[in-house]
Amino acid sequence: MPDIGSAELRVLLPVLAPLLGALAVLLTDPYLDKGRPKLPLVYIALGSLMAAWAALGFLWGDRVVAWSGALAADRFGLYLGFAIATAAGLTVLSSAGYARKMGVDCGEYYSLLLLATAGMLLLAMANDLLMVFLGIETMSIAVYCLAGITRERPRSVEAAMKYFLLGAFATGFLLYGIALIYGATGEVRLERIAHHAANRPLLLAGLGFLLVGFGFKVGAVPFHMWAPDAYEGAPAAVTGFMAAGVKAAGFAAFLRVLLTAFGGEAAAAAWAPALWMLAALSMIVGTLSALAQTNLKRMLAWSSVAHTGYALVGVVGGGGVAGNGSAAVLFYVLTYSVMTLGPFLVIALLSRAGEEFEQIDDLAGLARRRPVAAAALSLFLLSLAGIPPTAGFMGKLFVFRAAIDSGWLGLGVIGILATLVSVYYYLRPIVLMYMREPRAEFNASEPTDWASHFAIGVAALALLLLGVLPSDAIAASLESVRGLW
Amino acid sequence: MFTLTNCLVLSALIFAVGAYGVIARRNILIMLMSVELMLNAVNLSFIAFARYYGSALAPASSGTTGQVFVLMTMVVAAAEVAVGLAILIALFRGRHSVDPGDLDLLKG
Amino acid sequence: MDLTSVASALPWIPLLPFLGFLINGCCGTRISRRAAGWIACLGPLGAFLIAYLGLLALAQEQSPRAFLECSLGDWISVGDLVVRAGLRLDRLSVVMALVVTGVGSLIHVYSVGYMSHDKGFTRYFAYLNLFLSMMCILVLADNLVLMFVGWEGVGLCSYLLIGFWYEDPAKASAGKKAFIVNRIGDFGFILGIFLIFVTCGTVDFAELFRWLASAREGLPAGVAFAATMLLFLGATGKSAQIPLYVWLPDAMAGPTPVSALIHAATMVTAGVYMVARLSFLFVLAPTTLLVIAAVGGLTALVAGFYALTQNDIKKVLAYSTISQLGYMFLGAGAAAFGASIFHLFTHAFFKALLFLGAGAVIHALHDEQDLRRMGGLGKKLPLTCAAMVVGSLALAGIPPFAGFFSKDLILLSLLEAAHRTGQPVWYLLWAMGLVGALLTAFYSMRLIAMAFLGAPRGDAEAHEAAEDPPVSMGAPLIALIFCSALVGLFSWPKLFGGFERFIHYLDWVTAQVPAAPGELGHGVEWLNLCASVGMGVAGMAAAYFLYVVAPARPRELVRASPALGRLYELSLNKLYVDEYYDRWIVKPLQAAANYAWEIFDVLIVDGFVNGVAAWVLDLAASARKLQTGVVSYYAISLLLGGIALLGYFVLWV
Repeated sequence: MPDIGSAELRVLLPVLAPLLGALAVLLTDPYLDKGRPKLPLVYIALGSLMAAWAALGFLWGDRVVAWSGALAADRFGLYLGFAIATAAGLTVLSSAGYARKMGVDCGEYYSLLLLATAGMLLLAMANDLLMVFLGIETMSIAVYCLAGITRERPRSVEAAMKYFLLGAFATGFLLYGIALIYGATGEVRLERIAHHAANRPLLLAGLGFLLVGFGFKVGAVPFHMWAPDAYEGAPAAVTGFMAAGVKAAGFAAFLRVLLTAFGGEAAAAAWAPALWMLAALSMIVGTLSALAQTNLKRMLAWSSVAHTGYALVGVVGGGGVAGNGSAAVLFYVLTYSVMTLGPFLVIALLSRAGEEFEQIDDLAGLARRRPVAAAALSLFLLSLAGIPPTAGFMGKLFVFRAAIDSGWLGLGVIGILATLVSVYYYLRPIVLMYMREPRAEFNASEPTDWASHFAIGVAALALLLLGVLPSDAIAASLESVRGLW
Repeated sequence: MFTLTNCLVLSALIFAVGAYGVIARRNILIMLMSVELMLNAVNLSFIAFARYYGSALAPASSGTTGQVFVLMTMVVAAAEVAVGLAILIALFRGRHSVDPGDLDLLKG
Repeated sequence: MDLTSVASALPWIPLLPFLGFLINGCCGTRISRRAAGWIACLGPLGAFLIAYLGLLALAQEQSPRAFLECSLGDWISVGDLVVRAGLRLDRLSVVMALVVTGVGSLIHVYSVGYMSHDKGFTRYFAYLNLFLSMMCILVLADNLVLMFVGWEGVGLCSYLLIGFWYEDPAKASAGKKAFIVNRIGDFGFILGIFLIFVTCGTVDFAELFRWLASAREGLPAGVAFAATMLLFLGATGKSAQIPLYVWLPDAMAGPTPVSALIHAATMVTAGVYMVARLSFLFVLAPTTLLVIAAVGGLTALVAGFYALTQNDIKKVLAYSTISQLGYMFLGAGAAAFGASIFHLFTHAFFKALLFLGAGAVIHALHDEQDLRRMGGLGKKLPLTCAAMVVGSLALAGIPPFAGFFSKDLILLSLLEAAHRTGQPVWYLLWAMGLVGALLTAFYSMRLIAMAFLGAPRGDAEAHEAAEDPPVSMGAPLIALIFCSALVGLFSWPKLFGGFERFIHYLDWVTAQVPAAPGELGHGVEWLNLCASVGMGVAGMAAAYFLYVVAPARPRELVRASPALGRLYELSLNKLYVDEYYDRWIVKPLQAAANYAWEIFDVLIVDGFVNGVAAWVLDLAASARKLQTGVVSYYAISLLLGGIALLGYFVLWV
């Protein structure tokens, strides 16, 4: 029984903050007027997320391992922890107006958001497979509920059901993988697993099943099929949170497991070709499927599949702890989480009561009616397309370069080709917004949703900053990977 | 009879049966149960491994991790089932069907 | 002249126009038009003076490779990923900077008069100043990424200025067309930068040069080819070459001074500049050079062909610009980068002159652009007419006007390339250049004849009221007349005992290909010279004959003396010539031009692009069908993926 010293509590702070916030939200909710906007809940949620942010900043520094090695507060986990907390914060800001429009302005909504955030942060810091499992499940169960929280919308419930069924199915594989790894080594702590020879079939079989579970969470082909349906059906703010937070947390744990437990040369040589295949398939299938979409959320879902592929390119070309690839993945996922959240914030802003603003054709002429929203959406899409000077360009540059440097030329070429094709579907909405006459009505008459605008502004600014002055973020990502041991 | 190998084979078989249930059955409730079957198959593996590591065969380690894992899995599975049934009820209210083939609003 | 003090002043070259943009853009309606005009003109003038100081400073240096440098600090600096941003003035960029700011200043002054009645006066100058600022960044950038920033910036300004009169949907859509077509090229440019970066690890021109010189095994030929082709794709967009030239004729929707500055003198030449800037890279890819020359030659020919039948005065000049840009690429493809830049240099003056002259005509006739409704303006607009005539003579390559020297050098460089490489295809390209020269001379003369000679065909009142432009527009015209007539002397041919000073000035900053043993010989040079001048004279004479000689003079002669009956027949036939020409030359030419347009645009360009796009979209539709919506299939996909992974890890590894 370890002594619950100050280190133990300190490490837990980023997880505790949203957890307590969720409790506070649930306790406050019954005392609020039913008919009025539940702003106190928003304040509590924001406050707890800021506390989480502060805790992450407080822990930033040397590696602290606590709870018998189950949790590790190191830069690696904290790096994407910032992305997760930021994404959650922006989602809450945007939800202040959006949740009311969709009729889910209730304590459950905010508490689930916070619980999912707690799960994500736990996942990002998890240092043994038990914590990985717990983190994934805490996050996923909350997100299943969030996807279906607009119970009156059949598509929302259908999305939740599909996500849940497949998620539970994938969890089975993940758990089986963990069991086999445990069976092969007798260990669940990541760095102890690394001490065992990697070539035993039982261990490798476990790794295979583990990849299924992680592949599902980050939406890699062929484990991606839930993503388009869940993204399309879930309410926009939740979708953005899913796309940004779940993927960031998933990649954090995925990368940590691969680098720590399976970071040896023999093990890396074993998984690299498998991930090569996943990356290539994700880029190709994601890009091609996105081409033919008419629904903006669905298009973004397929684009997120493609982006998973791009990030996996960096994992394959990682070059271990010393290489640039893993750092490139961290930076890529950081930028990706901002630029994929952005469009959903805009969709949430433009949605009307009970009705999502999701058809690409409805964007026609948006620039005339809502110039700020149109400009921000254009920036996000340009970044997703990887056009300088946005962050998306820097991310792609870093990832592809790492892959090509470590000799995975084919993957780099597929990535560049996919990027080339993807420009078509990212630019189409921009063309519609700026070069067509308005077709749909926009809710220009409603009072301005300042919180939402603020969230969009923060995301846009972050993208530009990461694109123009990426040095600090890239340097931090390199430090994060170097400090993993 | 209860050798490690036997337990693992049984566990793998049950896991396969569960996976088959998920892909083959046309009832969401049964699919859910099949998922539970898979999780419990894994639990069997965990217990078997825990016993193996707790025994004299592998003296350097202890078997508690596996047992703790089983308990965690059971808790998580319970939470999962609760959420799953809640979503299923919301779904059934709207469509009066538990056939996964009827979930066809979202595709392409 | 202190080098460092001039170097530290370099940022002011783009900054001064940028300040103009800020003041005019922010204050907008709060300042008077007069003040706005002054502010707008002072920025470019100041920039020109600094660039001129730079030229003097460079002249003091012994080394021809000397340059002035001003670092703007590290832009990105992490580990081995370092991107520094800075401005660099060497012999190549100083020439470009002088052209850009010099011609730019003249056109700003001209615009004060031209736009005086427009309600968007300050907005116009804000855009124009921003353009100049971006163009200076493009020219002075010391690395590819900063150059790309300028490249995109000028594209944006071009888009804003083409669609300046955005109330007119046709004009607004022309702006969009330019924007979209340019994106295609830009994407090639980005990929090219990317490829260079991943291969060489740097985007800085000087470092790239050192890397290429020092790398043990050098750049792989495939990479060199791919990178240069991608960069050239970018150039075809910006510099309006086949297949991406289509936006430039439409871009004439913008105000005429904009056409002169952006779509003739400066921005469209950015592609040529880029090729010259990276000439040390392009010479490593001989195939790309051949492609560049072929595209340039074909564009020169086809665009000249189109220009023959245009009736809009600006369209004639637009196609002429495309055709002349083709010449520049022809020269660049022959690895005669100096000649190519020299043609860019002379073209900037005489094409700006032609556009400003055309603007004066349009201004005088109150927005009449149709050549068929002009005629006889020579007497009404003597200054404009003189400007257009000098510009046309320079364009047609008639000695001693500027265009003659540069075009002659480019054609000669093709013969040298043929001599050097031994590939007969260069003779073909030379012949294409010659035919292009014939077409150029023909349409130049046709434009002069239709606008200034003969009888007025348009509105009589408008014709009566037409008068030469005011001083603010006239002064730049006069300045450009002198430049167009004289700048060719910078490169007095060796044939006449000259030194080709301009070309040699650039020798050290553009890549040199080793010359073939043995001179071409004076005979070949004379042949080239005579052929090019001959083509020019023949083309002009033919146009003069068909458009000027034909009118009613013969009829009077016949009446005066019946003895000249036979002459009457001839005169009558001369009258027929117009119709004959119309039926047998214009119509077929038009049809052929249309046909060529169909082949090039519809069949090849659109066909290819659409074909690939349709194929990808088909693929996308089938990929979409995989997502059936049935959750069981999703589970099967997941299961199969899991089994595949398991199989791989257990059986394969």
